[in-house]
Amino acid sequence: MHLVPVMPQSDASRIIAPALQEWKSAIQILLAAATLAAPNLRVSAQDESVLPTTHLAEWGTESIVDLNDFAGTIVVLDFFAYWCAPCRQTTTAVEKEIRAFYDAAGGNRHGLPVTVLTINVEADFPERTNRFIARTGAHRVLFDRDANLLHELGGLGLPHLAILKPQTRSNSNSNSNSNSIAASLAPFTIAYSEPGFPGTDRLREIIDAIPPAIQDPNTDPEASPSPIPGPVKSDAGPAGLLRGDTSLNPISTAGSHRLEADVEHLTASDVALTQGGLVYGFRSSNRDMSLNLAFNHMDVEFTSPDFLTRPASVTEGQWSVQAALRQVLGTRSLVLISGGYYDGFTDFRSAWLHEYYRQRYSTVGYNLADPSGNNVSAGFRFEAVPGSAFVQLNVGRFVDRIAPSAEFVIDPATFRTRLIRGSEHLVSTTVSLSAENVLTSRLRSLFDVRLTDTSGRDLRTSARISLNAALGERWIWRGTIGGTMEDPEFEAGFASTGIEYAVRPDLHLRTAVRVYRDTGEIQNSIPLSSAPPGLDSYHFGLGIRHVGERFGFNLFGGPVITRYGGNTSGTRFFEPLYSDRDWWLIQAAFSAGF
Amino acid sequence: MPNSPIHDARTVTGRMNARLPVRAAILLLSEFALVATGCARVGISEQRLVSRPAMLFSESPVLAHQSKLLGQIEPGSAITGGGQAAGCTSCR
Repeated sequence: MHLVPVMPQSDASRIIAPALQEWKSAIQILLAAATLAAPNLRVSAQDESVLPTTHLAEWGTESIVDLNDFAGTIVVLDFFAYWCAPCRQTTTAVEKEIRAFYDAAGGNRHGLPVTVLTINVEADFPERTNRFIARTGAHRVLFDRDANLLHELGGLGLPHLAILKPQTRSNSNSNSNSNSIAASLAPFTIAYSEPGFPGTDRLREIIDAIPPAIQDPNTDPEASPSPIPGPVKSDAGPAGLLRGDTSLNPISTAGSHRLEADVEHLTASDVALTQGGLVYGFRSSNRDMSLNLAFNHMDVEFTSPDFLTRPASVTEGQWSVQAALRQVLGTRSLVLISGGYYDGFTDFRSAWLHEYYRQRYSTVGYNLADPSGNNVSAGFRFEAVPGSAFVQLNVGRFVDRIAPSAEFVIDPATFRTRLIRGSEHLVSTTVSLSAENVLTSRLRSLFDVRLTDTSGRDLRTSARISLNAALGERWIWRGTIGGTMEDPEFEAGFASTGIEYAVRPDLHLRTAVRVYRDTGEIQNSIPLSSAPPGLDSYHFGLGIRHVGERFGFNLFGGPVITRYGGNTSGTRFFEPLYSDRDWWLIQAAFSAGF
Repeated sequence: MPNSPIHDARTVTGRMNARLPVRAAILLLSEFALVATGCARVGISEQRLVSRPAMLFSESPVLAHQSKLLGQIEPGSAITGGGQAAGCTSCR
């Protein structure tokens, strides 16, 4: 650490002003991009419209079902595909809480019969569809080839639910929607047609508000919405976006709990790092909550870089807690709130340097560090294309109490020596924007950009692009490139690629390769600088992963090679810390839904 | 080296100006990626392959592919924010 130079005001303004302008421009561009990405909003198919003639094949038979056959009843259409993970919970809930409920009750509160039709949109692998039907208990399954009916109802993702109500005198006369699809079938109008599963309470509310087809013109049952019948409220089912939120664990189903545990171990000849975490999550009809507990343990062999210090074994630990909430807003967006706290060293380099400063300067007033920190963040996620594409904006504030650097200097005015410590408190503001999309039938993409402004440092910009490509039924290719920049001269870039092979649909083998390079955090050859030189890192790994309906695990591991560059006087002094190392990385994770 | 007494303020300004086009390129690429996000549309019947769990970008440790510990040895790839994302906070 060195004395902060007192720059003339004119020099300072030439540095600060462009940085502030760049920050403002960055925010404006991010917001504009988010606005542009808000796309293609479809007109809701919930407008009063006449359902077109639709004949669907009965699944597993040759017979054709005409929706006209259900005239006079309320028809619930539950669209699914066997590969749609949220559809399993939706179909199960609809069967139990809607079909079975109204069959036992003899119809809705007006006595109108309710028919549930589970509609498959996937033609391939019929045996997998049959397993889906068996597991969910779907009672009557039809086949919507090429998802034609689903598209006509405005569906773009799965699951999708629609409720058809019988035509009445009142709604038939008012049916003048200029956007209505040409109709060959007149018995129904669309009472509801939305992606996702709004929960059985909401479905029952809609169903129970539907009057009989032929009504007394002197009464209007729709004028007084009735309360939800039945003594028990169902709390099953995710709403809207949660079913399409691909960032959440697909093992988790709504109205359910999940438990996830993971552990990592990264070890070299003189450093051993262990990280472990435990996550409990709960998903209800319109929100998802999680609590994350984590610990970090580091064992570092401190090799003294000079005669004033001595070798030592440094053991440090860190624990942290993070809570997160995702709350659905409307049908296409949700709000994310997160907050957390940690106590302990965040990385082994800080622990090593802290030991050095402690040994070197403990007799001249060096105070032992007690690192800790907290964070809060808020975000907004918009479903650009239902079930496929999302845009998410996050803003976070991080407060860190770190183990600062220290330097013993001679005051030129008094020739007295004194210890100077770096800033102990850092405050960071982070803005990040993520966008995910299904680009083609085989390609999914994720893009992240993050701006971090930390006190005492220049703006840090990070960006990453990831692609997942289905090469075939059993092969998946992954690729990621990314980089980070921070003034004055820190630049980092990384790239990784991997192949995954499905031995079975639920059991995959995978391999990955990753390379990383940065320019180091040191710009001048300054004696006693503890900033690292440029780094090259290479990682190769093999793994196996199982993802079942309720249980999943992941095992992965391989070597990591780190090589530092540069032989300046500054880097040579801290060579024991910035020495080339050969590491081994092992990762294990477990997830269960219940 | 940040905050170095030897640091030349004029040199810092020059380097920052040289970095601005690179940073602007990243932000423009961001905007393009986001626009492309809203344009692509794949029909439901074609989403089977991309809807498998292994094709998803998930935060679950069972499906995630990023190591948390590698962020300690690769300061430019830290996935968390705050001081940790600012690299080695003890290094000067």
